[in-house]
Amino acid sequence: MRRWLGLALVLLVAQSTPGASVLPGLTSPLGILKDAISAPETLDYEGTKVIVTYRGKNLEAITVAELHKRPYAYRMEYLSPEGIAGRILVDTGEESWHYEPSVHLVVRGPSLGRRNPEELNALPENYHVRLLGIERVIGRPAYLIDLVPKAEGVQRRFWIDRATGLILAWQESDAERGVFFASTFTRIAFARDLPVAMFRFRPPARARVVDLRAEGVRLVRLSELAQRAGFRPVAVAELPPGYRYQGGGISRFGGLGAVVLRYGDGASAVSLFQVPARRMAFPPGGEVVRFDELGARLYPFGYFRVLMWERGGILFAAVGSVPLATLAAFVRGTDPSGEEQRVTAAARATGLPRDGILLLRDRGATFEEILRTSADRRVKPPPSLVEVVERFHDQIRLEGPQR
Amino acid sequence: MRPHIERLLSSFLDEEVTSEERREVEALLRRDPEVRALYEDLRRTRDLLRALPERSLPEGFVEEVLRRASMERGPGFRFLWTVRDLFRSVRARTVLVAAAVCALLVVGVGPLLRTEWERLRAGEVGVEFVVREHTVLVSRDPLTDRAYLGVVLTDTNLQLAGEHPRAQGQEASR
Repeated sequence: MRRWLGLALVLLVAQSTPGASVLPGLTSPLGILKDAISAPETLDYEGTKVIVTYRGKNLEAITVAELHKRPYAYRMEYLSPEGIAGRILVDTGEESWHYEPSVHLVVRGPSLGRRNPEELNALPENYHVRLLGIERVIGRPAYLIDLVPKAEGVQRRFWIDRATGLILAWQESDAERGVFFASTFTRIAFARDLPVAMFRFRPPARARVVDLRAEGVRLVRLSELAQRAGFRPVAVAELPPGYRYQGGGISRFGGLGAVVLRYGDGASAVSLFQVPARRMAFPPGGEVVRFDELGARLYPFGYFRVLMWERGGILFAAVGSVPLATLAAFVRGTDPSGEEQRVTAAARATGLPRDGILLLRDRGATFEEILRTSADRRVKPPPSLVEVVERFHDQIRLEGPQR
Repeated sequence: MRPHIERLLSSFLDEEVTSEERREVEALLRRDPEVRALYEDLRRTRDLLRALPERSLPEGFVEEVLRRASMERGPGFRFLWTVRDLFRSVRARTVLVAAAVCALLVVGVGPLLRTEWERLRAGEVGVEFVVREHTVLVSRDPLTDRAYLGVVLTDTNLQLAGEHPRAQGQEASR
């Protein structure tokens, strides 16, 4: 099945010319990738895209007509499989409108259109970024960029249109699942100016309209999150290699509020949700996975995975499209036992006051990061505690993600 | 005899006088033989009444009086009377007590049941809730496919909007 997935992509990537490793006049592979991320902000296009990925234990092929108007507007018209045929998603860059014709339903939701290229800054630290050559995709010359994780993680390959900088195809794979995601345009046309009307949406007559735009709060400090949420979230003590805390927030659905802490390594992201177990039960089903004495449940959802476990009266959910080992690290990292001793040990090892360690923990720092930051401090003139905290703040890019 | 003195003496016998009235009565009794005679008559009459045997009312007398009164006083009074009748029946009394206990249980246990229902309901959509939130969060990431995120967002929209979603991946194992 994995071979089929890989083969499907290979067949779609026509007339390849592998081995072109020396390409004079090019910017760096990372530069090509960064340009590709911002390319849609300067282009209008419409094309047909085929996406192949897992759905449960089976593969699913999705065909979508994708229209884009610069800088952030999209219109997706899903053509297959049958279950989503006719579905429309119009994203204005500010909000999204989803129309489901089978139930005559309109859902107004948040926008998915904007990207933050700054997220790529952490890439070189955790990934090898290589240019493998130039291949042809739907008849267009494309740079083939390979992104290989330095630790266990997801490998990505991108075919980037040499003329426009747009990503024409990509695939994702890991050691556990092989190739688990492939996406490629089978047809594309660049337009000077697509009509604005295509990116506006007016609900059809008598359609039921549901508003799911409710946006949560974005905060950084766990103490602030605790005040808003009404319970104390657990600061992760250990993270998978390369991952850093990127900010937190509160997500709401109806009367349910969950604290979400966001972690990333520059390419992959994991969201860690925490909600008091008295407010949310385990979802039904899922595959039971054991970590020592702790039982967790794994729920696949498309190419995302959700791992849920309960500890200390809190129900945790780690979500991402990452290997199971990466999600498992969050299970270990949320064990609160020994926190006090580790704070004391970190204070002793770094020479920082205990309150300073607690302050860093409140900002999502792991003990390993605290020790590493402190080691950096030793080779420079000793700054004040405030400077240490602020430097740490900058280092782990604590600006909460903006929606 | 002045009516005022008769009323005062009667109250004095029933011990329903103020200290000032008591002093006034005692002074009158000391200096006025006519008042003293009247006082003795009143006292004997009272003692005689107290000596009479107590007679009970005929059975149903009070009920009959109240029933007739209720017919004159309107439906509210008749309702109270009906409730009183119900409590006279052992069987009806048992049913009413059981109903009261149930009402107390509903008031007391209801919030607990509601909390548990909400907890289970949150669990029912828990996976879709966290996946949808994660999808919105990672949409900011550069290396994500908009078209695919759109599939996930719209799939979760259906579940959260209360519509029957298309067969989801995790449902195969549910």
